[in-house]
Amino acid sequence: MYYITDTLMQFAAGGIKIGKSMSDNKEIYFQIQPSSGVPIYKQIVDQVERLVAGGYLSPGDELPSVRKVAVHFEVNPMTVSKAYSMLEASNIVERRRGMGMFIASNSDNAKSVKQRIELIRPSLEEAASQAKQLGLPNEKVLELFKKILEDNDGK
Amino acid sequence: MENSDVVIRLEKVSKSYGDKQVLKNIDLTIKKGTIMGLVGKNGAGKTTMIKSLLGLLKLDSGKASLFGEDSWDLPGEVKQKLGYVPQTVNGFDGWMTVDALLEYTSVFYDKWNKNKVDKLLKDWNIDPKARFRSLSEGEKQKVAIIMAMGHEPELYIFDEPVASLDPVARRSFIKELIDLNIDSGTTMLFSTHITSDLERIAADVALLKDNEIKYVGELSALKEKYDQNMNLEDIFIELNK
Repeated sequence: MYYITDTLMQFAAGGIKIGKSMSDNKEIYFQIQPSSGVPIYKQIVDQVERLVAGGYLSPGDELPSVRKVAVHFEVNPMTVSKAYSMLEASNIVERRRGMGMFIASNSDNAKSVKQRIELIRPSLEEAASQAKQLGLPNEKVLELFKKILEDNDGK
Repeated sequence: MENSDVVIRLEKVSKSYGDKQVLKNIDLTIKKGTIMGLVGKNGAGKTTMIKSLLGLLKLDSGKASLFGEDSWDLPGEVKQKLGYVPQTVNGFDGWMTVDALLEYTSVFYDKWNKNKVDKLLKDWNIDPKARFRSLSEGEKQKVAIIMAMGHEPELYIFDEPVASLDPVARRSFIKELIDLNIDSGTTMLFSTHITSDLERIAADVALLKDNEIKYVGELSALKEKYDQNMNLEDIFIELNK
């Protein structure tokens, strides 16, 4: 209370840049509010989870170092480490020895629908070409593909 | 057998001044690398507990130890590992210049990081040629902190460390502590009643109430026990009821 001056509030409000939004290219900042009733480690975990789910952080993106976060927000380094370890345990981030923490590359899940659609396009183009050679109507082919997908879901 | 990870240990410590009991059966263990905040209202026993740890007070009963050595009879090598900043910084010879005071302090230690000391003096705008008694309260406290940092201790004990520091010095002080904690696993115990500091830097907390330890453990675990809308100050008021 005695020393929370405007200068300090600005420091605290500043946040740390940790990534860029893919959609609107806005820079993303970490925020920590030590005086919140939510424990600091949980604020960090929740934030990284949300940023990953929202596509703001992608596989391979690096998280700011424990020291950087601790010094910036004046919080205990072990608290930051604890948050990072929890994120690591739930496979959201991976620790690269001597380098730091990175958003985990658990492949397809982390990729966007658009990216994954591009991966299946070659097989579908091949099927479409064969359907045409066989003179099959589009409706019949789509019906068959739909049935195959549904059978697949059932497995 | 003494666990070598344990830096501070109090076992069933009791202390009275006359017929007024100040510490009642205090048990506390602090491991290497911990940053623990010691909180409690005025008169709860914080300073007495710190003085017991440092061997500045004789206990009525129980045992206090630092690095496994009895606090009342600390060997020189333990004192070399200890940095203590008292609540009030009087008792130094006021006629000495800051330079001379630091020089005088340094001879008591096997090692002295002059670069760090000079850098802190510069960062905190202390004129090394100024006489100690001419400094403001805040500047005196800065000098006391620098005196405790020169020999790069493994354990810091602060009694209300930042009460009269300005925001710029306070921030660089905290940055210094975080660097030390990450780089060297330095252990820190500090007493405060300003919970906003505690919420940031301490991961563990011990709460003294009515001369007993009412809570000791992780700060996050304490927060999780209470409603999310309650900040630490609210929780302490609740615990002090």
